[in-house]
Amino acid sequence: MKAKQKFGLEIGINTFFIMVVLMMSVVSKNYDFVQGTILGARTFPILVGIFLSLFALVNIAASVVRYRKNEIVSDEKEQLDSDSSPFVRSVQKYRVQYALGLLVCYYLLLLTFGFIISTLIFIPSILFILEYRKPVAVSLVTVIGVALLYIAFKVLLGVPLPQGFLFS
Amino acid sequence: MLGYLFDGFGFLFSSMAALALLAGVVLGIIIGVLPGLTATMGIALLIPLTYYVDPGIGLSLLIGLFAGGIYGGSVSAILLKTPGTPAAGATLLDGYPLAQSGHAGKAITIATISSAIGGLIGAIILSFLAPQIAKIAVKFGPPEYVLLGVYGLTMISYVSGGSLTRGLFAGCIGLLISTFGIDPITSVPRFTFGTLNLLTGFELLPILIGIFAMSQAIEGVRDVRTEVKAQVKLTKIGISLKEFVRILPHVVKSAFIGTFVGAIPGTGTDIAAFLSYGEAKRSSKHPEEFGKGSIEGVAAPEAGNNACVNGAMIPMFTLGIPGEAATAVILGGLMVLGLQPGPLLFTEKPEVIYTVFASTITSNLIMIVLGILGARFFAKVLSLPKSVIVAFIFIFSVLGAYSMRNSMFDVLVMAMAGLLGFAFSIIKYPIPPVLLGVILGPLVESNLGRTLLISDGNLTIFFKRPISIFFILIIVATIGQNLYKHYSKKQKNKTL
Repeated sequence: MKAKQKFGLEIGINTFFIMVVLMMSVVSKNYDFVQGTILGARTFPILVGIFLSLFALVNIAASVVRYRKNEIVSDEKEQLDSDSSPFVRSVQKYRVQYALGLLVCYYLLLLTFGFIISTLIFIPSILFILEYRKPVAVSLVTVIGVALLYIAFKVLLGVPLPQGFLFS
Repeated sequence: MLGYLFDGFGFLFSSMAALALLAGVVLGIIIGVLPGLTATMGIALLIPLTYYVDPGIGLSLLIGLFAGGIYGGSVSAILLKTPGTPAAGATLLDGYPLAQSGHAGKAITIATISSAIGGLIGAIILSFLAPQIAKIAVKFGPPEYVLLGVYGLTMISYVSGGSLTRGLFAGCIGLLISTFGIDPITSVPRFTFGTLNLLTGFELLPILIGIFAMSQAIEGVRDVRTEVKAQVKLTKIGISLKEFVRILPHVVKSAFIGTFVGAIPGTGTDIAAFLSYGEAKRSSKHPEEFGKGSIEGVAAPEAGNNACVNGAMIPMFTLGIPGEAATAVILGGLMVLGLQPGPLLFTEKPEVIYTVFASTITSNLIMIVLGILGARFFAKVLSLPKSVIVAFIFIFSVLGAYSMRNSMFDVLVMAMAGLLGFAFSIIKYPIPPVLLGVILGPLVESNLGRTLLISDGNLTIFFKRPISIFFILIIVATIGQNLYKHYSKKQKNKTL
């Protein structure tokens, strides 16, 4: 990741939590206090929120100083395989983003189809992103993995697995 | 107390607990062997499984994994020059040169024996010392608990890495997360936004899995190409009696150093290992061999870091204060199992606590057998494809988060916590303080409310009780020491 992106991320995270604190103080404005005291449902969150905002502001200031002094360093760029297809190169370049997108899809698939079908789709897809692409090995890992997880969780431990609304 | 300990052994060997302990040690060693995977992550992923079994069995699994995980790091340190866990950082200084000179098997044997003896001494100290501390801690009232919680929060400064404000910011995020749900004093539903999912607040388990396992899996996706292969071959396992006699005094001394270091909240296995290494070098008859493949240089840090595992459990069990990330996760596991860590655990659930003590002792005996007999198998684990491991960490994270309440909302919370953990790793913010905040927030808030109700809002109550005054003094000392440390570090940087 480039230094500028890291700087933006740091500022973004600190600002986001200041916004959360502001939102919490607005939401909690009608919470009652114990009569005659400052004790109430909003006392502790507001107290924590004040400290959090202070630390966030210090962090933002420190980050700006470090950025100006070029103390935030970029990560090393990964070499892309020049002989692969544009799609494979794009997966290589944006591996984390693809994986996060796949996780969102996995969540939606779990909600819809439940554990078995979703995981049978998820494992080969994530392995592709992770550059593990031997067809036989991927098939074996997928089928045996899902079977073992099902047996371990559902059969042996009696742990319920996501069912999906289509099958519930 | 000895009677309870024997009962603990009785339960351990008459139930599935012994099998769970064995499984925990094996899994722990495998996780520890693989660079990039930590015992903390392993514990976070296994907690959901413990929810479905007896607490004694579940905790045995976690204890085994913790001990095995710390030891396992030494295998990759010796064979790859890459410590599987931070605790094995000191081991590679002499372990790898020893392996390079054709004695990899000897190095692993020394690491195994030293880890087991160190861990065993630490476990015995834990079993006898913890109940004595709990006897004092049982006298705590709400003001003491508030101060204990605040003391626990000062540990943030130790687990913050480079920047104190980043750590405090992360700790405040944890505290803020802990305020969702019903207020402990007024019973007002807080920040629930009308959803039943938030009525009891955020569940601890999805957050724990998210920040320690999911985030690590996302990091694994990013770093998938940085796989390292074994540089040296595993040779004949075993050491001579003469070599054993030579390392034994260092092992015993390091075990005491490790236990003592572990018992101080805010330290960790890596510190214990390096301190033990330093002391062994100082007191060795052959200091010139250190760094070139000294057998004492492998033995001391391994004994120190495994003893530290047990030392770290002393404040966790007796006071409910996690000293570092792995114990914070085990503490979370105890809470998930419905056990409130602290002195009352010793009187209310002695059968569980003494089963845990019996497990800590036994896990080291298991480790010595497994470590030596299974060395070749564990070395082979290093050739497992990282991609497959990362894929399954994702799935385990999802199943773990889902399994506690059968709730996809918890999976969402876990994913969000994972993203936060990953973002923190990019910008180099410490993640353990978030967990400290989540765990200690309710303790501080509810007891602060009770204290102020008892005293009619008078804060002088904190200065009228001897144990409170003791805590105030150590809080002030801890903060003072940290401020001094940060100030002197800045001064040092300026002069450079």
